[in-house]
Amino acid sequence: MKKFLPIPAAFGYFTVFVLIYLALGYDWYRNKQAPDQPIAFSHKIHVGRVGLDCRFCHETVDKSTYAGIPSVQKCMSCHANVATDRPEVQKLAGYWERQEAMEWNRVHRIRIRNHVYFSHKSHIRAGIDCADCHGEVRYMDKVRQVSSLEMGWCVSCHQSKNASTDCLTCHM
Amino acid sequence: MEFFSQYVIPPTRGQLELLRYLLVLTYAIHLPFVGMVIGATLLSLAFNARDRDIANPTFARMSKDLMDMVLPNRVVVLVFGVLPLPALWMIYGQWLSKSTVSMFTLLPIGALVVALSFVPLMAYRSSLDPAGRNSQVNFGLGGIGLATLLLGMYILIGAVVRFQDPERWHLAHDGFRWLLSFNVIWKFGHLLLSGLAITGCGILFFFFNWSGREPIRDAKYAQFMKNFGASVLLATVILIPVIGFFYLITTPTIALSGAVYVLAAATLVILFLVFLLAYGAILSPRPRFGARAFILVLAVFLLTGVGDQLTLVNATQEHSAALLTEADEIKAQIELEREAHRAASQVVDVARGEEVFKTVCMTCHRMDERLVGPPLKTVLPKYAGNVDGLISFIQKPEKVNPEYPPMPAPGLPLADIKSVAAYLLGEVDDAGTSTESPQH
Ligand code: HEC
Ligand code: HEC
Ligand code: HEC
Ligand code: HEC
Ligand code: HEC
Ligand code: HEC
Repeated sequence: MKKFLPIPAAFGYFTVFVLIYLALGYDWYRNKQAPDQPIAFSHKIHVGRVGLDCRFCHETVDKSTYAGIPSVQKCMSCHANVATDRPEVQKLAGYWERQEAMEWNRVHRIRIRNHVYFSHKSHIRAGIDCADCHGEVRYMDKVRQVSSLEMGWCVSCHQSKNASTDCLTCHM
Repeated sequence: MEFFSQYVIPPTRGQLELLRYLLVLTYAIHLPFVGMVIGATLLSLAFNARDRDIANPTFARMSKDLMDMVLPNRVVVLVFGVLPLPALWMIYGQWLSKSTVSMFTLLPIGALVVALSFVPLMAYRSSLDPAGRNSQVNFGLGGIGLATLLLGMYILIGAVVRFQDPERWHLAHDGFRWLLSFNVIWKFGHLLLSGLAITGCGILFFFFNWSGREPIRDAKYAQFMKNFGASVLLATVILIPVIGFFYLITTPTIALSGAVYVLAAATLVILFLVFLLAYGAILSPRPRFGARAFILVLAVFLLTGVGDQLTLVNATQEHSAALLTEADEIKAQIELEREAHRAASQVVDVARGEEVFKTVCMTCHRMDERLVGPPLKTVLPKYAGNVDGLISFIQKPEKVNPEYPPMPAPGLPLADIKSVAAYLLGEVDDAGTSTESPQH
């Protein structure tokens, strides 16, 4: 019966690979997929349909390192009255009544942030569009990370735009 | 991109769906065929060379039969090998119109090289002599044909695989950096292996099961052929999961989704079945299982094509949304013009205006109080005698006062906007002339 031995061996082999593929899928599902948010906030509605400017909500993007996420109060400047019949907006109003801060899940994060100097301010002032780095957020219902935010990505843009590629520009 | 963006109307949702199906269909026709041509030519050349070393008639015959199998006539080459190429070009051109990637560099070059490669390949096929008097010359023809086909396919695959990596679309003008990516290399390896696998099945299927062929009478030759086909199949089926793994881990995150992994895992299940068939064919004294293995490997090609289509869908999600929005805008523009014609003949209806005000504007406005927007009594006076100004503001509000959030466009038909404007201006006029303020 020796000649049938390859069959269980192959079964094992393919099973291992199926498991590896599914494990990769699980890793994607847990760590790489765009995170769910406490409220189904949609940029497509607010930028695309309502026509708001990015800076109306991300106020500090041209003033500081971080773009900043708007407070519940900013949302309520409209949603005290607007679309109050929608369940997601009622959830929002719940946060407001409890005076509870919204814990938005971060989507973009440079992996080794401590060793990298990155600031929104200088890039926005250099006239770079949000979409060059974040993709077309105005078409996203749920924000997802479009660029890798890896060093190669930063450097290739710096090269093409004649910005500094000296190590010390970004690493201090 | 100029050509496509100028002459291609942005596709609607239905058309985008259709493009996806067409893409899978085109892959499913083209890739198995090209894979088989690559596999068969490679093996044919190997047998050809062996034959000239040791003059073995089995080898010479095998060399010829393999080429006859994959390139039986011009029509097959045209339908399976050449026609899908312009189709691919059109599909990607539509799908990625308005993007920054160029459809005029790598994709058409690769397609052209692939199409041209069939000329020396066909010449090689006709020059082969089953009796084994092959020369350096025809070997050279086959070699050139194969090399050209491989080069063309590498460029073609490189061009389309990189579409799923928008972060690097800016490399489009730099062919070498565009093509030198592990993701492309693994995909190409995957095609080579799948090509050899389907050639192995092809040997089992077309030589033995195909009713259109005359049966092979030489038992020894048949035995050799069967074992050879099955062994090629067995070896490639074992290697494909490994190369598929490397392809998956080099695919950009943006192109991935749960379904991509599940599809990839499903192909492994099919490959295991193919393994069983191939092994059964080796054990069995008679040639068997050719048809079933062939169909299963075709299914692997199909699932892989669906997966490739899916990664592109994932990677171009926002791009497609932009296209759809543009198509919607064109439609809305046409609608608006029609509306304007109708509105021109319509009387402005103040009662209708009041209704619109109460149902739409009152969410954010009162006459005397600040709500989301300013109390209208304070802002309307500046529009007195300027109905058109008010109408155009309501149609397309602009940022006015920094104390308030911007007003969203209410998206009303023009007739309603005209009515509500007339109603509002009437209200402030009343308020100005009468002493009591209106009740709302
Ligand atoms: C109505 C307010 C609002 C507007 C307008 C708005 N955003 Fe946001 N944005 C948010 C909120 C709230 C979040 C956090 C929740 C989320 O990630 O969806 C966010 C998150 C983001 C993130 C992800 C942050 C992270 O966690 O990494 C990006 C990137 C972003 N916005 C970009 C933009 C761009 C670009 C625009 C303009 C096209 C824009 N936003 C307009 C409210 C807004
Ligand atoms: C300028 C006014 C404005 C601001 C500021 C604003 N929204 Fe909205 N939002 C709207 C309007 C208008 C709609 C209804 C859009 C529609 O359905 O046409 C809406 C809809 C919504 C919806 C419902 C979507 C649906 O259809 O289910 C949610 C949830 C929401 N907003 C959350 C937020 C959050 C969270 C913030 C703060 C980060 C915010 N909004 C800030 C105007 C605003
Ligand atoms: C040069 C590239 C670049 C541009 C341009 C850019 N961003 Fe970012 N953005 C980043 C990177 C990188 C991060 C992650 C930063 C980190 O890990 O701290 C980020 C993070 C964010 C975040 C979440 C963290 C935070 O800073 O609050 C928001 C929100 C955001 N960006 C919004 C915007 C908006 C809105 C614009 C346009 C006005 C914009 N960005 C333009 C690269 C960019
Ligand atoms: C889309 C193009 C682009 C990308 C992507 C980009 N940059 Fe820049 N960056 C620029 C340009 C252009 C300048 C020059 C600005 C100027 O001259 O003021 C610049 C300037 C800088 C500076 C010097 C200005 C300052 O703040 O002192 C730093 C640091 C920097 N970038 C870091 C990064 C890092 C880190 C990344 C990746 C996470 C990145 N950049 C990604 C275009 C880009
Ligand atoms: C334009 C900005 C920029 C410049 C210039 C730059 N880096 Fe980086 N570097 C980064 C960013 C951003 C990361 C973090 C990458 C990540 O999180 O994946 C990084 C990460 C690294 C790392 C850690 C890599 C890893 O994967 O752990 C090293 C080492 C490094 N850089 C060295 C250098 C050297 C050496 C130079 C000069 C030749 C340089 N960098 C220039 C932005 C830059
Ligand atoms: C989602 C809330 C919302 C709705 C619905 C809304 N508005 Fe407004 N409106 C505002 C806000 C906020 C402002 C202040 C805008 C500013 O100052 O930039 C405003 C301002 C105005 C102004 C003053 C413009 C100026 O030049 O100062 C007029 C007039 C106006 N709205 C009319 C209307 C009419 C008519 C409707 C109904 C068809 C309507 N609005 C529906 C929020 C709204």
